[in-house]
Amino acid sequence: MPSRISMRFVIDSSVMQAAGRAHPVDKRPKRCRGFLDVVYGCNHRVVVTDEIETEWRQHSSRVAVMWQRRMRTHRKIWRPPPDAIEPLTDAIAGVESNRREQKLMQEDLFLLEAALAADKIVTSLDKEVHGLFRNAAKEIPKLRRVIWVDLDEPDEDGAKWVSGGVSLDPERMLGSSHE
Amino acid sequence: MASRSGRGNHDSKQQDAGVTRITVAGFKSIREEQSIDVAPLTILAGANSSGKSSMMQPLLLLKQTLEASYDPAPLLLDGPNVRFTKAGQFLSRSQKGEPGGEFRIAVQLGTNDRVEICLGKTPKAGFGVRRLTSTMFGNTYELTPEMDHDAVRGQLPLAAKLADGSFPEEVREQCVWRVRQDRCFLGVEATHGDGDHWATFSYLPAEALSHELRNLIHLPALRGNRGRDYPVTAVGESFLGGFDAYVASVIAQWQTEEAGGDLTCMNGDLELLGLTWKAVTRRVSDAHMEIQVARLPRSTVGGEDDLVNVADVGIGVSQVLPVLVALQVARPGQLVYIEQPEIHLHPRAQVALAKVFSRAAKRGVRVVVETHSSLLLLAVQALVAEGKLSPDLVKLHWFTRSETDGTTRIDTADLDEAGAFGEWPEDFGDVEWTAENAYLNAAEKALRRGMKDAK
Repeated sequence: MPSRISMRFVIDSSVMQAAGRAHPVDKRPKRCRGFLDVVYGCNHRVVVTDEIETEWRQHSSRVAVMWQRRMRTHRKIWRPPPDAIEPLTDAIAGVESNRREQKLMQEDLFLLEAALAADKIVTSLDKEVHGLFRNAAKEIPKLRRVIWVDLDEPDEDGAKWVSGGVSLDPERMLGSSHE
Repeated sequence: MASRSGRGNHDSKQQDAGVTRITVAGFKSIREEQSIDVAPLTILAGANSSGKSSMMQPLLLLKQTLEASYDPAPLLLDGPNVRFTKAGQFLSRSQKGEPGGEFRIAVQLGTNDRVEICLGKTPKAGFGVRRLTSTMFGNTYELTPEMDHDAVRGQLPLAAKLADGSFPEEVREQCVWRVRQDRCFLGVEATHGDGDHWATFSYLPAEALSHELRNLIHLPALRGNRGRDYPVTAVGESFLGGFDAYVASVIAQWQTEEAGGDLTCMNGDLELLGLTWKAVTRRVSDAHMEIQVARLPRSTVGGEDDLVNVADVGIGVSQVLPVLVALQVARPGQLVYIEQPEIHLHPRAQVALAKVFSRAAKRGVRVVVETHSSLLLLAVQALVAEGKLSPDLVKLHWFTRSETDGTTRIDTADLDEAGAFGEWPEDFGDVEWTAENAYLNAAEKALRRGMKDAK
């Protein structure tokens, strides 16, 4: 069922960084800019934690800074209260994976922790981490209902999905193949 | 020169002093009644021709009328602050393009007092004051030119009471009351006479507003390149006409002050803006003086006398100097209206200007800034977010012009502790985002074209 209410999105720095690029062939930068624009325009909010802010600063772009300023100025930033963040470190540590995969998951864990404290929506370009978290969702039930919008997917029109009302489609959920 | 003792940070009394709210109706694009609250730092933003100046021009019309060397009743249309030649140029037009018959301007002073003046075509005297409504001490009085003796006494028990001290009790009841037009205001007058001896008592309900308007400091958008010399002027509490004529004389006065705090402050501001580190005046004749500025932006050893006329450096200096001087000379509660302070300024200087405004606002000066500078607005937001400027001292008014009938709409926002202002119809950030997006999309297309051409 499409939602017309203001949703709280977790947006990975990979989206912020890509949005600022101009590439003759790669469609992702434009896709990311379009996505950011509709999140602002449709009155949704972005989730910000200390970790997210740090990542945004490290992998930013001019257009991302502008977008963040618009979101801040118009009070579309949502910062979860400290007790709303439930650490997933131990749970992820227990997921069957090799050392590299474990490291990648632990590095991006803050995205899931923030999403679980908000409306369970993550947007990213990181296909590999997406796959790892889908795998982790097999063992961690609470991850299964997290929606992962993968803007790296050529068929994923995130902007259209947001302007269409942010439907909570099961196929976008980390647990989609397990339920 | 009046003592400016209130140099510290603002207190609530200062925040309540002076003009606190302006309401306009029937003036240019402000056809329907629109109001703005005036905080110590009030920012008017919006597209060109959206009505920002129209909100302040009625005040300037009243100011130049009050300050005219002759009685131009009811309004001096073509003066030093605003220039019209016909009332039809500023009276709002209807949907069919016909000018309206009147405009209204209301000004709230402090928390309680309010004066509203309605000017328009009158049956007898052409364009004139139709009505003046004054609220003081919780009582509201309305004067019209047609009111007779009984109507005036009925409307103005306070005036009658004030007149008590002017006339002996036995003649008080024999006074004749009438409404009197005093330039752009209406007042009342009580006279008593026996043929040989006459006594008159006058009362102007808009006296306090008149005082505020005379003290209003106006810095227009085109502050003009005054050439190499500035006139020698008197320096007092109020500055008739535009402020730029007084700039050199104010600086000259500061040079004579022993403490030199004002001069140091102004020079500090010039350096903060990255323009120069020193400005001084030198008398060139009995009628003129020149402003000299240090040639380099920062102080250097032996650079004390490396000065040039302000006309010989970038125009940004001569444009912003009146702004810095005005903000320094203004007293708490005094209204300083600055149009486009950012003109000719480098982006870095525009950002720094916010600190100068902030300092004046914290002193209790009422700074009304009309701007198109996204950087200035962003810098104000940053000062608030950094805790260096209380959000209570700032008001943002965004002006929008209707695409269908051309009328003005004003959206007002308060900043929160993080410097955010919530919902606005559109702001500078949206424009920048759109422009950046357009550039990146165009760059991608250009790169694709380049690839095709290479093949």
